[in-house]
Amino acid sequence: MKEFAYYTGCTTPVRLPGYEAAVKVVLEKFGIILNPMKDVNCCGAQYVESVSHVAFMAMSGRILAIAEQMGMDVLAICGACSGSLKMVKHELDRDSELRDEVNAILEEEGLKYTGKSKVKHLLQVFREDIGYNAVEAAIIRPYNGIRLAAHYGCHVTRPPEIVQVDDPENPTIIDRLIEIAGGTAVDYTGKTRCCGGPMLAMDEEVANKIGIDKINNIRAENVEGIVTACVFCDIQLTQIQFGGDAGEAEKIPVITLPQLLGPALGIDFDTLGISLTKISPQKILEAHQ
Amino acid sequence: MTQAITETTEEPRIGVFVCHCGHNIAGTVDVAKVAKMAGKLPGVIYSTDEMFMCSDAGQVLIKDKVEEHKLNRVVVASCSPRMHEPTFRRVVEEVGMNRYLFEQVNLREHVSWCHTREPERATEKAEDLVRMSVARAAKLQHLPIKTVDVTPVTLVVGGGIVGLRASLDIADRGFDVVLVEKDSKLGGHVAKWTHLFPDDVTGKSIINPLVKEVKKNKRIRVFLNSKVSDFDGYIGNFDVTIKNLKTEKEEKVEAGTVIVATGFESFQPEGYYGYGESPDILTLAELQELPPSDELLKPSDGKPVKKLVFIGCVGSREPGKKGHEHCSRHCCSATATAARDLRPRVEEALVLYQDIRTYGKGHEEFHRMARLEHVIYSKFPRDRKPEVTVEKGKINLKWFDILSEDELTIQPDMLVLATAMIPPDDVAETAKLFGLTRSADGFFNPEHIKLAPLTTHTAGVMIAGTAQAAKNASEAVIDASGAAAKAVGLMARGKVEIESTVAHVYPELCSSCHTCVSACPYGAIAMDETRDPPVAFVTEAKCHGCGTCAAGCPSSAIAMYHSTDDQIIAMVEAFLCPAPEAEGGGAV
Amino acid sequence: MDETNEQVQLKHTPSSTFAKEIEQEPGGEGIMKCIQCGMCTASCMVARMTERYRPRKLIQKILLGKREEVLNSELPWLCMTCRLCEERCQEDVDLAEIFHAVREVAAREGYIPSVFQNTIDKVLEDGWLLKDSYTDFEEDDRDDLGLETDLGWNNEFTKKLKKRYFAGGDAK
Repeated sequence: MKEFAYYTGCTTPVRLPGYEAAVKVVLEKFGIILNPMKDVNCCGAQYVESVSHVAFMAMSGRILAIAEQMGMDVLAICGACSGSLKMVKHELDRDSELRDEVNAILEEEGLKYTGKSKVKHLLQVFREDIGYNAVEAAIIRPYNGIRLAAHYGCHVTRPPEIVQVDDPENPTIIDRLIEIAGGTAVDYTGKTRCCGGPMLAMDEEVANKIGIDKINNIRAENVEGIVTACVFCDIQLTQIQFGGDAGEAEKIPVITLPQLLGPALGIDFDTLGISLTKISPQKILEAHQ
Repeated sequence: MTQAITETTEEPRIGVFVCHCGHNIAGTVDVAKVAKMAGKLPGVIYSTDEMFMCSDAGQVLIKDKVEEHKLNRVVVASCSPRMHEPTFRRVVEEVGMNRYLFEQVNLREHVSWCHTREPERATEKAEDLVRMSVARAAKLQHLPIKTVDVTPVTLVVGGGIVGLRASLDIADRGFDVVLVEKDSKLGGHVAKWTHLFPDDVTGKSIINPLVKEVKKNKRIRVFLNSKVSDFDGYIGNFDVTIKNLKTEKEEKVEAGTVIVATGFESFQPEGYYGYGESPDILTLAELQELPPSDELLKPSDGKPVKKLVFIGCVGSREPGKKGHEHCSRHCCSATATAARDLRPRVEEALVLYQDIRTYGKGHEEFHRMARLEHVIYSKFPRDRKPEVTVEKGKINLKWFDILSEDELTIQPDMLVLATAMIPPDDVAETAKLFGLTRSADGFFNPEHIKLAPLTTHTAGVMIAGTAQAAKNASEAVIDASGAAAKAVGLMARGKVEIESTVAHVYPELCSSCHTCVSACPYGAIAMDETRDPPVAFVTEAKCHGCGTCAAGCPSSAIAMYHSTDDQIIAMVEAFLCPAPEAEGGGAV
Repeated sequence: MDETNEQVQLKHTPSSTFAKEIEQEPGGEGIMKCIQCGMCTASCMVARMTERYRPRKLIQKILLGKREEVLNSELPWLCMTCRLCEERCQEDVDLAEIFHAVREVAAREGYIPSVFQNTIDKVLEDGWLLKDSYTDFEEDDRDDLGLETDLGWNNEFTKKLKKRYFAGGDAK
């Protein structure tokens, strides 16, 4: 029985609660218990990160210290959060001055960062803690070859020396799980490119162009669904299909990995929050009888 | 038509051996058919096809058949003569046949490899070629094998690092050297450089040990302040006249081999980047010749240099400008190391470049180190070079950085121009003297850029170092040892065979017109002034058998051994009118 | 910068001080390794979709010492931190990290795009980003899924950080 401190990040609880629930319920099936983290803060990705290095270290550092207090490793399900937590851990482990400075503030709450708690992204848990064999053994209602494209997300896979999740130029975890669940993993141009999400703040037009480019590349392969492992990517790839640049083409459903695996594992649709998916995943769900 | 020189009295008994070369020839050409056709040709006693003629089996086959059928001509139809002509010549010699009675037909490079998709037509062509060569074989003549002695002395022209290294290598192996240097001391450019990059060693510290050793060595005779004023003879037997430029005295020496190591000159870029308008604008070579000092001081007023700027590719890589189109190779690396080494002494160091070619061992590292030391690299476009003006003793430099797309300016305290390596001003004279040709960059041409980079078309004369092309000192020294090895190779053998396929003059037909003398690119034909009227005669050791003299002679007084008119016409006739037997008709 | 090349008549004198400054900032250490090969720009999706952003060009401007221009420009803020450039860079230059360092210096000197400023203010105040977006609808959805509706974000800590690191100009 493995336990994790479950760090959802800011966005998932509000924008994609289905993802949050699906992760919990699917991982439970494999004997992994997720403990919600109380009293945490934003990891500081992107914004505070850009403007104050120390504040960023402190924000993510605090989350790690809380996990340490809980005596567990952290599971992050958002790409940006997992990237931040890992980058911060990497630096705090190496820079004693920085660590001292952060601990000086944490001390006020009785927290301390020593680096004991590791950080894992959802994909790592599948590969390292659950294992492909266990997943395969648990599939009871496989999909019948439905064509799915995997989108990994930049912060999930890069920089590889620090995040150590998958091969950054040729990632395979999601693709393998798609195949194990009975789907057909489809390769496409620009698989490792960004979805454009982080660009929305500064230049929405460019962000949309980047996103549409990805959707077009995926569409060129006659795909019936897109599988994601980061909340930001999921939202972005969904949203741009509703925008002006998207054109008249039929929208491709975007679904998170646990929400894809759930039905194949025999889990009830409702507990997976699939009905909340913006683009109807009807086609995907019907693909396994 | 000229009379054949040694008219063959014997009946030709020709053996034809058609090679499969595995699949290389047989895959396209029907070799069995060709061999069968050849068997019916006039003069052919024996004809066969074989898997690999160059193999032991093939060679033994030739020897066996020559003896069995008493063959006196052998035709091998196989790969290019450039591959195995020497092999087969040796084989026939081993069974007592003169090597010039052997003929090779190229069915590979000239037929199967270039007509792979047309096997029928390729076979037809193969048959034509074999028929032509058999006709020629019938006319081939026995030619004597000649050798000349090699004088065990090497003439080394140029006393720079290359000349010194080569001389020592040769003397080491027990041969004598005559070293001629036009300057008053040995050491060339390297001796003048106070800063050698990297390690900041002085040029003198590298070259002095070599100079000392050369002076001590009893086998090396050094002529300072001297140049070669006359050069004659041929491989193994060169007649050299050395003239002292100061005393005008001349001395004659004999040499068996020559190494031309006359080096380079650093281009003085008049008209480029304000050169000449300020003493603070200097070339990289001049920078390296500045007196040693802990500080970098301005030549103009002796004050410390605060802003140091380098500009690359000055007088190099200029398409359309004769003699300045080449890349001078050494400069990007030299500039990177100079910039890096001098950076701690100045406030800012900039390198303005067109491209960066830090290619050699450790060179990429120099480039990285320069950047890590905060040398600023700025790329300018090829068609819009930096502009320099000098006003009131201040240097104003402006340029366009093509990568940041910015107009930039600076007032450097010292501006260093990495100028081209060009041949020395007397290079044309040297070329003429030694019969060397030059390439577009002005430096001497090697015999073959890949396979023979140190020898030249003048047998026995080697080139080494920057005389051959722009390069850095380490690379030049490699050339020195290579050329020395080649020279020693010739001298150690003591004798060298010369080709018998040379031109031959029939004195009774010569009309003294001198056409051949002007036509010969090798200076191998001259007029024998002892006769009246003078007639042409060939110095066989110098002749390359190119045939230009024979083609030019209006009196048909010159024949080319092994390519006589008789032989060539036989080939043409055989091509145009195949012998009836070969077409299935009766005997003639 | 919005100005075109024709309009920029003023010529800049290159200096290494700005690069040295960035080198001292956390994340900026590797800036001197750049050899201007252009792999980053070739890989960059932002550069693909807009003419104005070229990571290689921006790095060269830093190396040339164009401090004013770079710090007052929106360009360092256009990096999405997708890190494809870092993955492909042969000299191992961490561009996203370098641009973070540039942003920090810029912010210290008062240049920060409003969207960043607003978001930072919000996150430090609320402790997380989407407080205003968490309405009854979202609460209901969570409830249906059996998830905790009280999200329990802590904002004491972030307020503390604001005081310590963001108060006026002495933010580190």
